Amino acid sequence: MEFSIVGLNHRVAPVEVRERIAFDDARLAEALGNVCRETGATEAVILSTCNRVEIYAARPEAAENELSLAARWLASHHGVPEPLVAQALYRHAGYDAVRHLYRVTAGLDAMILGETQIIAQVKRAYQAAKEAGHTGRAFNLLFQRAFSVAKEIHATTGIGRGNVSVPGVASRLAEKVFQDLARKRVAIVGAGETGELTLEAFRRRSGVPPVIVNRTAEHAERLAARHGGRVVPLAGLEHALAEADIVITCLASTEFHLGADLVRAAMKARRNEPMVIIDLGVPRNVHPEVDGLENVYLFNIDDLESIAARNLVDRERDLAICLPIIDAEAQQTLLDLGEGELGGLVGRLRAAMHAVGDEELKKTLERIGSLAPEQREEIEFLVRRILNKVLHTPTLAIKDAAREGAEATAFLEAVVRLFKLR
Amino acid sequence: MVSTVLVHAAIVILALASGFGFLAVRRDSTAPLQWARFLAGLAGLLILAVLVRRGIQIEKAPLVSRFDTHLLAALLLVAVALGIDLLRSMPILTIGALPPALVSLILAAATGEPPRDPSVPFASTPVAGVHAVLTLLAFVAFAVAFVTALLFLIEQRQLKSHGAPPALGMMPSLEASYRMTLQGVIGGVVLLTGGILAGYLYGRQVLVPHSGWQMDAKILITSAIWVAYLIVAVLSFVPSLKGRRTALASALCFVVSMAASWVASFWSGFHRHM
Repeated sequence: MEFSIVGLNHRVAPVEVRERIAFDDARLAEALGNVCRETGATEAVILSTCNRVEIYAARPEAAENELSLAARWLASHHGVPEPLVAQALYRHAGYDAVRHLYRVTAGLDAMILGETQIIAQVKRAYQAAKEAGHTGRAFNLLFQRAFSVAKEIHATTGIGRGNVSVPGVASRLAEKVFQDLARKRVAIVGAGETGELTLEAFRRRSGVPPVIVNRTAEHAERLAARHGGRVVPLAGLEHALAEADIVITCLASTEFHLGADLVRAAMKARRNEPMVIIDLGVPRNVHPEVDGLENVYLFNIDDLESIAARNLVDRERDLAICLPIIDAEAQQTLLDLGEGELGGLVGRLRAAMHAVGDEELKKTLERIGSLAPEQREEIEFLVRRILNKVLHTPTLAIKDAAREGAEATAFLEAVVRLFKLR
Repeated sequence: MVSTVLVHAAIVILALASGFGFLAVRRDSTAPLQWARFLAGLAGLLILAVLVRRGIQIEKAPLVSRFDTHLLAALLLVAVALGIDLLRSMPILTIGALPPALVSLILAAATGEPPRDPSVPFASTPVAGVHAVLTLLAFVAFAVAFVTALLFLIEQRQLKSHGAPPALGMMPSLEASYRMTLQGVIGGVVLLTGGILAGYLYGRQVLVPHSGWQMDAKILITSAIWVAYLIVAVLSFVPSLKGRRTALASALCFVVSMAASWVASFWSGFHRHM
């Protein structure tokens, strides 16, 4: 059985290419059937997300020209020029394919390192293939293992910890000030894109309708239509500040719209209850003096981006811990499937030992002569049982070696020489 | 001898727990935190064993010496912090409470176990027992307020410096720390009011009238602590004093009151148990 992956992702193909060969959920079953027919695969899963399109396939023998076959099929399926697809496609096979699947599922190959959304996307892709009858023993084991490896990696390393996006960092900082964001009122001053994304991040947590303050009523109304809440003209900013716990500013302006006096007055009106101000404006909308006010926590775009960048560095550091786990698990999976170098070794070792057993059994049975069928079965069973017991410990030792990665090669060599398995 | 060994074992375990707590904050990791919690619980059990043993030996509640008080304070601090941590997922509270508990335990070891027949028959009447327990609980509440106030001040400083070091991951929100500080201060004032009243009743019943026992150094200092904390509690409702100033006042109040209380016990005529 050979596993392979053919596909493209955000690293090798721009969004203009990715969006043209993305698979529609409604036609996925049909596409899976086509893949199996066209490429000779016995099992197939198609993973189609905004960052990647990958076809996972398993077939009894290694496929020849799989890359060009896949490029031709993808191009004809989506009605795009073949060279456009062919130049971006990559292929992994065997151990590399298993390792790639595990890296993808754990979010190690994602645009945002360590993101967890991909686990659900891989699960959906696998489920769709399973329901369409295009998965078997190999893919069932492979994908289930991929999910448990991803879970283990996220539980034991810091790869998914710390927000790496500006809206995520902003909401996390607000959570450090307020115990429960669900009851906090958010005010957004301006209607910029980053501001709206940040408002979205807060709206997922807050149950209180936001206050939208803007110079142009039309833009504010549009924002209110999408996120709910009340529109207030810029002239009503002081009153809006007084009732807001979290203020997001994203005005395109060259002057400070939130000065120390304005915020001080708002703080007095709200009896000095804490206030978080997220200043996303460039140039800044909030005067730096505001940061000196008691119980006011001001963060500008640089603060948020530097925290996000630091979290990303932390994740990249944790990547070094994750990769050996992935490598060992990929080896172990191939071993469990009876594939790969070590898996083959176990098979050869067992075959060699059983061949010896069968030969000796044959000689013994011939020497004894006639035996009742039950007696014959009992002797055969005895030989198999002894062989299995004897082979149990070496099999476990080989499986253990698989987990040790680089050490496995030396071990493999020793086993081959000990039992003359070449 | 057995008590000494147990107390020293508890010190070592609590020191290890503090180390694991520090490691958990540094690495923002849960594995050392679990060890810190486990070891803190283990140390708590050892302290409890010493106190139970003391109680059996002296045949009364083990609250008759400075040794007992330090042990009980350490035990209550660990128990309250662990309890709140487990109920409200506030691991930093356990980590923050471990050093003060360790100091209290070291003071107990330095004081040493007193003779089996103590000259101060303190917990001899129910009123005296109520006085001792309420006063001790009040100081544990103040200690919790001290720890949460420190957490508030540290986290506020980190947020104001616009950084997000690893410790922030474990910190409760500023709102939660501040609320717990206020609850600790107000709860402590209420408990200390009860403790002082019970002590006054005990004094009137047992101590010789006109002997000037009301002017005992410990009583004067405890009354001053009560007034100081009452002021902090009242001022915390003034809008301009909300937040950092109240937390700072609460933390300072605890340090000064602990030091004053400890020193005053040396001048006290009948409060030598603490």
